Amino acid sequence: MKELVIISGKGGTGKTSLMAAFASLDGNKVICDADVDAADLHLITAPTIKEKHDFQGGQ
Amino acid sequence: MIISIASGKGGTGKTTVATNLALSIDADVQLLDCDVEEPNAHLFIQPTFNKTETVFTPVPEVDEKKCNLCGKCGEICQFKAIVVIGDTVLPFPELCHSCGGCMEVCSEGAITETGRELGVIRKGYRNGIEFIHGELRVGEAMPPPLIRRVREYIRADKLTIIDAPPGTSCPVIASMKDTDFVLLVTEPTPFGLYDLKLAVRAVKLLNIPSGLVINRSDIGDNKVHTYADEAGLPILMEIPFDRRIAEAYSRGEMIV
Repeated sequence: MKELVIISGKGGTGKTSLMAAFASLDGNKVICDADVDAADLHLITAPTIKEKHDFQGGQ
Repeated sequence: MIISIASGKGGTGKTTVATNLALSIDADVQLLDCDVEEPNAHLFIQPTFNKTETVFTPVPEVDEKKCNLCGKCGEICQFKAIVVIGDTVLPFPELCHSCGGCMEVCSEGAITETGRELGVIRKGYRNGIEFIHGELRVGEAMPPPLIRRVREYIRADKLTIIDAPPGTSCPVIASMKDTDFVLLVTEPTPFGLYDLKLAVRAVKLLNIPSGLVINRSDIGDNKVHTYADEAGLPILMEIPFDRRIAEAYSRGEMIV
């Protein structure tokens, strides 16, 4: 599997918008919104949620 | 008085508002750019820098000759930044939050303090504005320690404006905490609204009064306005999506 990461430095340049465009392409793919502070990709892609888990870090 | 400028969403106009607000105020002003990962305010203010210092945070260093491998250091550490594995002690300085706990509990005096570089703080001046920003060392995982060091320059006899980073997690909290007012900057779009709601939750947890600036206010929809009304968030200013503003910004110029 090839991994493509979209980063920018500057906020608001269009990472999520570009990501959504890639997500609309044909093909076998996994898309991941790693902006855990303020994830927005699901607002465009409107996925059907199949699973939800709590995450705990630290000890 | 300390005003922090935050948003949730990146690119809504925090730095635009922070820099132009600092320039507009007719008083002794400090502008602190706490977006230490990507400080941009200096590009607009163009301060003459007169001080640069590299700052460090204390992290443990172990003298293995003195260590008895009791493991108390690893037990007290909340971040797995020091671990006893077999017959060796491994500090992980990049994980260390500098609490000093490991040094406290070591009965053998095997742990001493050394430093991890956080980054650089620069201080300067321009047009009546005292300017301070931090530049996080590339590879440093934690902005808050550097943000706290930038905030040490806050002077009680001045009006301080803090340009916060985007997001809602530790760096933003470190920038907004203990300020008198949070000015939230948003754009009237689905992303803007979604992230604004996250930011409002963070501000409410800190119990700080806040108000809203809507940037590019004539694009998108009016859901941000509706939300602001429902949330009791006063809309303090609306900045239109004006080509002249965009052009000035893209040239690195101030609007006021």
